[in-house]
Amino acid sequence: MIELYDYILSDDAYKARLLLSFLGLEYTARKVDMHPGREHLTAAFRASVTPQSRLPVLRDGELRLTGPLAVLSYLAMRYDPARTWLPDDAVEQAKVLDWMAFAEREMAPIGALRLARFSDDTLLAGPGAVLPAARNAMAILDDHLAGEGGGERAWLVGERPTVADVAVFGTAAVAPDAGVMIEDYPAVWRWMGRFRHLPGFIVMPGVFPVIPELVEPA
Amino acid sequence: MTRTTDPVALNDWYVVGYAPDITADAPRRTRLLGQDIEVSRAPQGGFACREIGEDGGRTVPHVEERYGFVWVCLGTPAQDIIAIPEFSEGSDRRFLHRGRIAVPISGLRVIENFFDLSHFSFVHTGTLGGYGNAEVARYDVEFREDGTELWAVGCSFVQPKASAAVATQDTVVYYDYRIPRPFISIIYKDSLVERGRKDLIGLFIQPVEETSCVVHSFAFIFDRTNTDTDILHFYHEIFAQDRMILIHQHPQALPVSPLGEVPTISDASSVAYRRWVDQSGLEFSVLRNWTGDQMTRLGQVAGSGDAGVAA
Repeated sequence: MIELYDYILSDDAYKARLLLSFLGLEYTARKVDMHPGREHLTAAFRASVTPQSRLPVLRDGELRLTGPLAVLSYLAMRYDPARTWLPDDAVEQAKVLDWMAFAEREMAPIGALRLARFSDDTLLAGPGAVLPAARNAMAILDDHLAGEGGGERAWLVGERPTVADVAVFGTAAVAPDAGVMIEDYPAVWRWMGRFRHLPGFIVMPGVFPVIPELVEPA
Repeated sequence: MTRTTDPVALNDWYVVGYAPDITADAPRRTRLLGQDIEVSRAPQGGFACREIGEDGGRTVPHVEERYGFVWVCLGTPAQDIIAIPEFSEGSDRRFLHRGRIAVPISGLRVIENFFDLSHFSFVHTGTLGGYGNAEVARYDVEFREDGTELWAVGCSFVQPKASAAVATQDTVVYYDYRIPRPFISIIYKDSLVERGRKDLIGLFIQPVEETSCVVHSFAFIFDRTNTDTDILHFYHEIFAQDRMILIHQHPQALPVSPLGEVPTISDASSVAYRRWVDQSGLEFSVLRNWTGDQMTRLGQVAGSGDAGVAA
């Protein structure tokens, strides 16, 4: 049985929820009181769930994994026999890993700023140098999706959605919470539209679904 | 920004923190009405508040603990902290601090969104509303307590999941909204667990600046099955959906001119709220000269989302 340690407002946990849904996998959610309880910082959490004090944490039998990179890679390799979400091809797989690393590193300022702005931690200090870094990540993403000298890229790598799209979407979609507005990045805006139409797509709070009546008039 | 000079705003009480979060080791530095303050435990018990300024600061005399929160008035209180009789009922309700959430928008807009019914189906799809039941039934707007409190009563809505405590099934839920002060609202919602009793959910807004605020909130409810964490996840889902809508609202202060927007009958509570706020004389977070024709292009609206929180 798969268990997911989850907080409803965690963008990283949302990435795990998304792929579990795309793959049609059943799981049990273990809800964590990140805010306001800061449960992930407690000694009990570090001892019994993960010493890394972060989400998501995925348990599958004896296996325990922390963070979206490991969780998404494992789920794709273990439960997607068609290998579309994490391609076998050496070049494609390397590019997917590159974008997953981008989601963990370059996009980290967006996630951090978002959580700080949800609580009032940046109230007196202001967003400081983090906001330009957050915008820079969105600009890199927008440039890539806009393509070169031709049409836009439909997906980050290759011709189909991969775990790279899942990892980047989960944070980019809630960037407005951090004060980074998606309207400023038109290629990202259109890529998100494609992503939201994927079969099995689910929302998180702050991400809105495609309203079915508008897509298929009755 | 600097401290407001608006006497109506200064002479009111505001929640500035959740009492158990403020310890002897961890005072709370924050901002109220543009004024930086520090709230701490007082040596003789209770709480103390100090304005922080270049001149070394000043002690704020009006600090109270009530309903689990710390309240501050920077001026001379024009009235007492609001009464919430349910807190002294010796109730079997559960009290939950729902966490504080900052929103870069006028606190008045947060209150207005809280009692708005028509967004439920489209913003809280699957919990507080659904696409198939978007109609807002008629409700009444009343002034109570000698006209000092605004109430929207007899509200009802078809909700797929009205609270964490109930199974997912479309149910007509009835409630009243109490707006005792411009920056405070409490919902009295018919409990689906304890028939004939009310669940309370309250928002106490800390107006930080004209267009940014911190929302302190509590739930005082009947729920014997869920853990606190289950209930918090339910509320945070709803709040994060609201926050995403609120940060895109424009203008960021609350327009109160009748010329500015075109309401429908379902907006009766919002119309009454704006007139009531207008007549209160409050200036902080209020826009009186907005006529709706000063539309800015989308980019400027989007960019303005940073203005509230950035120091």
